[in-house]
Amino acid sequence: MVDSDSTETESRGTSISRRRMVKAIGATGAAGLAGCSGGGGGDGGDGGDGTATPMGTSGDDIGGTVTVFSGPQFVDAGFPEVLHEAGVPDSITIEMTRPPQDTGSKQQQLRTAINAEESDPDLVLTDNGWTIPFIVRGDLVNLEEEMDDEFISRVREEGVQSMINTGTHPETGDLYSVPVFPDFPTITYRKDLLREAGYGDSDFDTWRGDPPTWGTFSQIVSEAVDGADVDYGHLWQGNNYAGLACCTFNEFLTSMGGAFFGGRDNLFGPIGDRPVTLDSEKSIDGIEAAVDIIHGTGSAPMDIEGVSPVEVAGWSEPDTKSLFEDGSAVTQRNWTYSIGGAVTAFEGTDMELGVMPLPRGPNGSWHAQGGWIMSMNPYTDNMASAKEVIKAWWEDSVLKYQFDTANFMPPKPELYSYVEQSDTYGPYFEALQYSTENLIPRPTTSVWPNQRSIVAEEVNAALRQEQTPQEAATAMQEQIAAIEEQSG
Amino acid sequence: MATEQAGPEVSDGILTRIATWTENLSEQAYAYLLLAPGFLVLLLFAFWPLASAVRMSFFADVITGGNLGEFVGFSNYVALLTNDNALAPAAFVDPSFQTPILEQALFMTVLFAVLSVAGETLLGFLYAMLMRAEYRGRRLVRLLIILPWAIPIVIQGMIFFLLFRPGYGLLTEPLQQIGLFSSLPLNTTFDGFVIVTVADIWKTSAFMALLILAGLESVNQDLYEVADVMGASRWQRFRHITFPLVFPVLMVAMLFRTMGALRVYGIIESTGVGCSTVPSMTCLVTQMMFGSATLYGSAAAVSVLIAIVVGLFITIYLGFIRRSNQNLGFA
Repeated sequence: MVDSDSTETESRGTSISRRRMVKAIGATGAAGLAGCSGGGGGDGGDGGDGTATPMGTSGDDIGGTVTVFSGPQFVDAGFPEVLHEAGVPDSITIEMTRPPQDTGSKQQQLRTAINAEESDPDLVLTDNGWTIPFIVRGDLVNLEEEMDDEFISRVREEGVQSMINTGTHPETGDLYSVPVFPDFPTITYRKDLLREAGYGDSDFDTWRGDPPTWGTFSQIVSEAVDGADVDYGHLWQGNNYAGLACCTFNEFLTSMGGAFFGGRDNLFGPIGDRPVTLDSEKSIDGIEAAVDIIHGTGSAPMDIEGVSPVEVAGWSEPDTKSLFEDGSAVTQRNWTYSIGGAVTAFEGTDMELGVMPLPRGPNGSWHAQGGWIMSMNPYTDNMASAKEVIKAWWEDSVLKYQFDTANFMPPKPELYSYVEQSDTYGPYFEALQYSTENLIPRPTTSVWPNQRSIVAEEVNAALRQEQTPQEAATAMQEQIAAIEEQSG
Repeated sequence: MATEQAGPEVSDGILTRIATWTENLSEQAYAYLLLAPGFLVLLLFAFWPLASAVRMSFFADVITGGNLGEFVGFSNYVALLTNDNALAPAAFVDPSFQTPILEQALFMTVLFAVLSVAGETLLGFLYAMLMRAEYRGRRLVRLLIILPWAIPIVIQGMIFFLLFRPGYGLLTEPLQQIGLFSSLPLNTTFDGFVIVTVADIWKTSAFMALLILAGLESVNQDLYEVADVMGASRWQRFRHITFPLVFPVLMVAMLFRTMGALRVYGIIESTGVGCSTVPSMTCLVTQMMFGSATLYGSAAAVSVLIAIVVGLFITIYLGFIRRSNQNLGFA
């Protein structure tokens, strides 16, 4: 029912005084507050986030919870049970967490946690491409000092050497991280299309352990494209992103005999005290080879035909993987996981999968090294338990389980025979083994994040023919030398 | 006669006493009292971080840690302005390594702000007129106009990425064939800049339209009736009534959008164009802070420069707004 008096009052323009209103609000507020004060049912009276806090342990006690900043493949996959079976005491609870999948985001999140001196995560899977800057800053635990000599010796003896290097202090040589799984690229190709072009099983068998040169490879792809109903020849990742600098360009560069800093010995430093050799003749050959496989300009010392579409200069791994799997291309350079993807995609089709190492240049066939290594948070409040987890993770049983469940390669060459027996990867074992024996790490130092963006920028511009290989090399040389000089 | 009913008895609690205390305050003091919580929040969440950034900009970069180096005064600013910091992100537009990256980013950002705000204003005006007119299907048109504004930036970025991705983007090949774009529009600075600008205009024109529509609705209709009696043409009505009266609202809308455009970052990353293709000032900050070797001092210096540039634009706009209000007799 409408209150006529009040409407009449309003229409006359009379307003309630501000002070009366405040008084009324004050009274209501008091009542409201009184109502709140006894309230329950909130999300935790202690101001917590509702998560259970683990029983704390001192760093020297075995027990409590060890949090591992791992990845989605490790969550709910039975890893804690397998680690317990491999020797982790039952008093330790192992919690696998799901960090961001993007390596850059994961790096940033770890840096934030360490800067804030967070005790969790206790252990982190760090990308072999950005672990050394953390090591140099003292942001990871020196395992050489904290773990027994026998275990450290075992890791050094049994592990993939180039992976161990990515977790080693470049100056002291101390081990800070233990390899978890290596990753490396291969060439996946369509055997059915190559058969149509006149190649056969004997060729496929040969290429597994003796890859063709870039020139021969481009000719093979060109022949296959000519006689087949496919959109693309050879696919690889040439986009302006970290993967071009660390990996695809690094492969062209090394196979043609070039180097970032004069050779393998200087990859991890010393910054400012190593030669920058990106404008050397052989390094320019590396850029020319990458440009030629797209444009076929004939500038590289090998006769490389243009069999890659110009679009590769804008593509990264997911693009090429999906195109190869749907049958749009003859060959593809991609990481080991793409083999499993292609096996699944080709099932029940006429497409037949082949795998070979990357083509050879004058300096051989080289494969960029990817992969992840286990590191320890320096602010962990549960170091003794975390060490138990690291030790168990190095056991064969855990690494085999890791391969079975997540298709991650073991970081021990002695376990390659296990990979050989796998239904998915076994048929391609010889090519995989060749690749692991010819890995080239990226030059990971504290200034590599800056340098890699320059390399990616300049090489990508050359791939798009916005500048010549010589111009790209000169620009890289100038800028990277300036960084070395400033940071040395 | 209306009788005032007695209200419920209020206990003499602390809030009541506060209310009584405010009775004795002057109007001005009372206004400040009411504004105090807002100011406190502003101090905590705006001025304090800004002051921290200014302070940080006077300290050296330490590339091997998350700490600040020694006090270096204006060295970070000088290094950026003279292109003397080799650790700053690589030059994007001019690969000759001669043009300071800061200059490139500033040029790119201001150009983006001018073009996108101009485009949004023009399109927003058209949208507003369209939303105001009476015709069948007006509701659907309004919905279609407002829809882009409701789309999250990530989805918007995905739409434009799918339109222009290399090889199989919907528009990549057609635009390449007529010579407008290259085959790799997301990797080419000019193409990428156009894509980002168009994406921004597409999304935020709706926001401009809503603000302009509010201005249009507030124009007194009697003025149009007078204009009709005097035989004014449609153009004369727009020029002498609509535009001058909507102008103050338009300036405020443009001010908001310019501030947003000068801080552009999200749309560059979400479309797949990326900071290395189209650098903006904010791109520089993020690349220095997170993408490279933690150049905190230099990143803070760039962010202070952004604040100065935004401040300059705000000053210019406020001058325009004040002048237009004076012309209209509001001030």
